Amino acid sequence: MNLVLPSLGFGIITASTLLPAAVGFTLQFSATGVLNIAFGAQMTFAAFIAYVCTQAGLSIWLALAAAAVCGALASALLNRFLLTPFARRGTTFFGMVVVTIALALLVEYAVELIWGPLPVSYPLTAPGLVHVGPMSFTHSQLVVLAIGVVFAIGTHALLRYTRAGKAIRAVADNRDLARSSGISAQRITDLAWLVSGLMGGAAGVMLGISLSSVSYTMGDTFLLEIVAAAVLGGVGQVYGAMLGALVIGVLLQESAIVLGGAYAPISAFAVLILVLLIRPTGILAGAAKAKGVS
Amino acid sequence: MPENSVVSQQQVPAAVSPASAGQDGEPLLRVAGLTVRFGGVVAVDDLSFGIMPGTAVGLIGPNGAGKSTALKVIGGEVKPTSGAVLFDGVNLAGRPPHVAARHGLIRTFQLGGEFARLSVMENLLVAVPRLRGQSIWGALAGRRWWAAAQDAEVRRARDVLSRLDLTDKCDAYARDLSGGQRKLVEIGRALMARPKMLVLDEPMAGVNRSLARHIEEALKALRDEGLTLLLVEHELGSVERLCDRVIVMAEGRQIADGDMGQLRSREEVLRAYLGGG
Amino acid sequence: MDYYLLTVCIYVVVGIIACWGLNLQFGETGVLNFAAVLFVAVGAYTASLFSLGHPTPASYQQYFWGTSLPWPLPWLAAGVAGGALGLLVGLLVLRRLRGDYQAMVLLVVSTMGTYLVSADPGLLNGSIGLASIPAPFKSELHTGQVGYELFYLGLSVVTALIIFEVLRRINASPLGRVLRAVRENEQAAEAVGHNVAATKLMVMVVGGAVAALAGAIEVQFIGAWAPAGWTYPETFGLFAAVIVGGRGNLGGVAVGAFLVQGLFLEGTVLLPNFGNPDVIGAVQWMSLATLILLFLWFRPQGVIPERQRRFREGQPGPLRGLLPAQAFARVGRGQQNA
Repeated sequence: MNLVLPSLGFGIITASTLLPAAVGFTLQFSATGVLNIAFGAQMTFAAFIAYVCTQAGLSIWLALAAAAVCGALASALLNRFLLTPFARRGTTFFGMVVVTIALALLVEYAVELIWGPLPVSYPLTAPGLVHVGPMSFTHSQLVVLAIGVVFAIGTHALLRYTRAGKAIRAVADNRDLARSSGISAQRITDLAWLVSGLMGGAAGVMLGISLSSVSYTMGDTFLLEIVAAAVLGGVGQVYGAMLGALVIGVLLQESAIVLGGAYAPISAFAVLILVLLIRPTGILAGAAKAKGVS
Repeated sequence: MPENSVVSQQQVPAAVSPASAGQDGEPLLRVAGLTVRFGGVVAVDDLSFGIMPGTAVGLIGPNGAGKSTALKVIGGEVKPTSGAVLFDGVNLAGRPPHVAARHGLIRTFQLGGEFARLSVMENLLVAVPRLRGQSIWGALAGRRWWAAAQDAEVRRARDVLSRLDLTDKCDAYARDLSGGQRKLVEIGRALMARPKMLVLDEPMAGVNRSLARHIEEALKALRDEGLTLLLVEHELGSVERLCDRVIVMAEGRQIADGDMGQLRSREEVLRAYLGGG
Repeated sequence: MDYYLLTVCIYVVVGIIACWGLNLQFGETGVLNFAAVLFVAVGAYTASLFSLGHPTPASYQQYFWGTSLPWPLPWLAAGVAGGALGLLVGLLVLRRLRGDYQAMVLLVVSTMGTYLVSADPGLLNGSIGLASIPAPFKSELHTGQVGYELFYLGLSVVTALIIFEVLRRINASPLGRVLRAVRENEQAAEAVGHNVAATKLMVMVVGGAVAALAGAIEVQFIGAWAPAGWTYPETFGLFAAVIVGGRGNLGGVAVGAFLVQGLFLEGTVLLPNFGNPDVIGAVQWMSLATLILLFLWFRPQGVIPERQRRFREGQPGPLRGLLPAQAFARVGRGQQNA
């Protein structure tokens, strides 16, 4: 039997998880200029917060909301009390990357120390299957898909129709210009970290749901897929990241079927490298901006 | 005053003899039909001009006129959408910046062009073209292979530094200098590259008055020795004192070309400045 | 105890060599090579394949190709492979991408390597890894374990000294100055006539070859190599050593490698056992991360900072052939990081 179409369903689920993560990652990167390697670890942290919530008797969806909020707060605090002070001290771009790697290790291994090295899982309700053509989804997968769509629409609305969103876009396009036209960089930076923490937190829980297990290395592994989606879409391009998430998500699942599970990440990255060779600025990148000393 | 010149005859022959840079009547730099579009925005629109060897030309215009973009295209940082940049007979349009530099077209930056954690002397030495020991094999050959060549350049650099009044800063990190001194370091570095032409992006911007004067004097000395200059500058007084000829840009287009005295009386120039500046 | 101390010494030498390779790229030229550990791994696998011999179907481990060459050919092959990988990765990543993309794509490339080796057991024995990699001259020398370790330590130290001399020459030369100029300001380096992409490609090749040699030395000593040993946090360990020791200073980087690779990553085994190995691993990485944050905050220039080059006043005298240091004296001095 041909499995390509059914696995498209899995691909879409993976993409729904990848979408808020990639959008959050790229939004924060373009607005603040900090390449945040700790993003995956933040996702893991949120996923475990949700686990604690479900252990305390909350439903998984409430736990997801709580984890997203925690993720947002943690991310904002992190920026305020760690990254901004380092940036003020004149730490270079490269230095900041190293700071976030250190942070990733701290968070990841703290999670391991607290919750142990073995994976845990969320209590999910019995899986009734819903069939859509050749694809079938569990109820939780459908909710994950719905959340992904909500995030896509929400991001679009935020960036297009709110003042804050427009300001983020302006800063992402040209930080110096935006600053000189009176946009408060500090507030936008805070907001960008908050939003990316929210999205990352939600994505962490969504990942835990779709993998049906949560472990301390989970976010770190997933980070590579996030980076792949973000780079594929053109770093800083929010809609590009959405498209990148879809492409990488579907590609991961399809190649798992065609080539075998172990090869799935490799094929996705191979496509990424190929795209970069043809279009170094990503699939959705606009015309090259005159970057540099101006 | 030859003893006060920044570059003397025997030090940078290529920089001083206009004839060596191009044939009589041939411009050293010729920009033809240069157009740059970013997405829907036309930053530079069909710009054409020529610069004769040994002359100093100013490029002025209100903010956003496309001057800096034009400089970046000439320096190779930005690829033009169309048009040619002919320098000394070679079309540099779309070639990377180091190619332009190796042909003798050296640009300086408006801001932050120095190598911050390199000493002033090192800033200058980096620019020496084809210095022994700059290739991997030369470096592996060891000090004995490149020491003499470097010493000669160190002496040349000391000369340049003393004429720029930077001798006592020789071993200081460039980042510990004032803004104006850093610009001087950049000019000194450009001279070490044995340029046929200097392209300067606002060399006097953000510099205190006396240092700006100092930079102006240095550039004037270079001009008098026959180095070809193209500079973007907002300080019109300096432009008038330094440049034989001025090109005015507004909204990506060239709107006037002539000497400063003529231009002052032209209405569209004034309008461009008053309207857009 | 002697035996264990010698083992740690060899690990430290390996760590120093790997960090020197990364220092050329990151410390001197500013290339954020997030695939650093991939080069070590490629060197280790290459040396293994060049010493294990032809794979037989009956063997308990599978690999796609192999031969058995005498020392130092496996090490040289590893260096060549590392350089070739540097060329490949450099052409792919450095020529076309902006700095921030480069770092991300290098991270992806490194992880891709881990996945690839783990995914295909026929390639390099999958996630179990290669084992029984022969040590050079072990069967010829009848010295006992400690004696052999002493011999191997000597071999690695001599190799390290050769590499040091090569890197020192690069560091002290006009080329080293160009590398630092690229690190400080790529645009300006281009504007004075240096091909930045080619320069970075060169350091990827040379630094890659050096890191691969470290892998070769390590693998022929421990005799086994598996994907779990070269995940991306290991790259962070190398970066940590370079930052702690002092970017751009070979001696400083060696001190950093000793502190981080020796004391932190290997030396913790010397501590009394407190709890299960997972806890030790977690505490190790967390304290390393904390160490890095402290250094970036309080002493970003590292334990021994990059030397500030001074140029002696006046003309070189007739003695200069005999006293080269006179004309180009280098005096170390503390500096704040920008």
